[in-house]
Amino acid sequence: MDAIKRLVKTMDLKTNFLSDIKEKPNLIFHYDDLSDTLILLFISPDQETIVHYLDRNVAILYRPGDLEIVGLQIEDFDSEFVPMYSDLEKVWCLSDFGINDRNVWDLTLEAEQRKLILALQIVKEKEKIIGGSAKEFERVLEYA
Amino acid sequence: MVGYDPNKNVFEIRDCRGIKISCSEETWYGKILPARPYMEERIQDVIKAIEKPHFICSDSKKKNRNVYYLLQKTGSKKYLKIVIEIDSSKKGFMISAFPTDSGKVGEKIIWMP
Repeated sequence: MDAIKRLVKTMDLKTNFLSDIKEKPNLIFHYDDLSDTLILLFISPDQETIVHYLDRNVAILYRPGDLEIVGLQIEDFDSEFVPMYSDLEKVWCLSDFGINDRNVWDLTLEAEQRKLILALQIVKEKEKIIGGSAKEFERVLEYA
Repeated sequence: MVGYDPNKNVFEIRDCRGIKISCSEETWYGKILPARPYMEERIQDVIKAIEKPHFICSDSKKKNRNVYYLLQKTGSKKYLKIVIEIDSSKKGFMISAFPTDSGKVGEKIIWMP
């Protein structure tokens, strides 16, 4: 059967939004154990974002109106992605994150630092796949 | 929504192949909407994607999951992607629902109208 047509090219996605972040961003962090998906988002989840797959696990999230990159989505996160990277395994531990019902946006303050480390490690591990926007992600996360 | 009933369904329908598919309140209010609140207004699109998808794929990893795609042409062009887990008694349960602009590596089309 036919392949699934990609509707938007990766090269058409924009990094102006990330580039314009000059102070501590509001990083929103969400893990859903049912779909085993981690979302890192720099905008409110109330705003629509489109999932743009880069590989089997990693996708960029962008705003449909202006194609600005605003986050990342990692699928099969706990079952497949984390075990591939030993550094991530050290940081990622659901109970240490204070995640009791395993489905939260907001974490405890104690987990704040680990959240940022985790996000930075994900971007660094997947820098080649994420492409040009990886540097912007890293810069913004460093602000945080 | 606070106090959803995990034993109640938001919908129970049949897909384009006659498979019964349901979405529990726990999944809809406890999993999908916290991640993407804007999906609340799109429940009819979710139902349409299951009843009349443009195509269905096998999941890239799990054999018991099918992925339904509905091409949406209004506004920005995108697919609505619905992941359904189908149990041994051929009943399906919604796992996730979100907009995407492409399929995922490893997914293969298994049904088209």
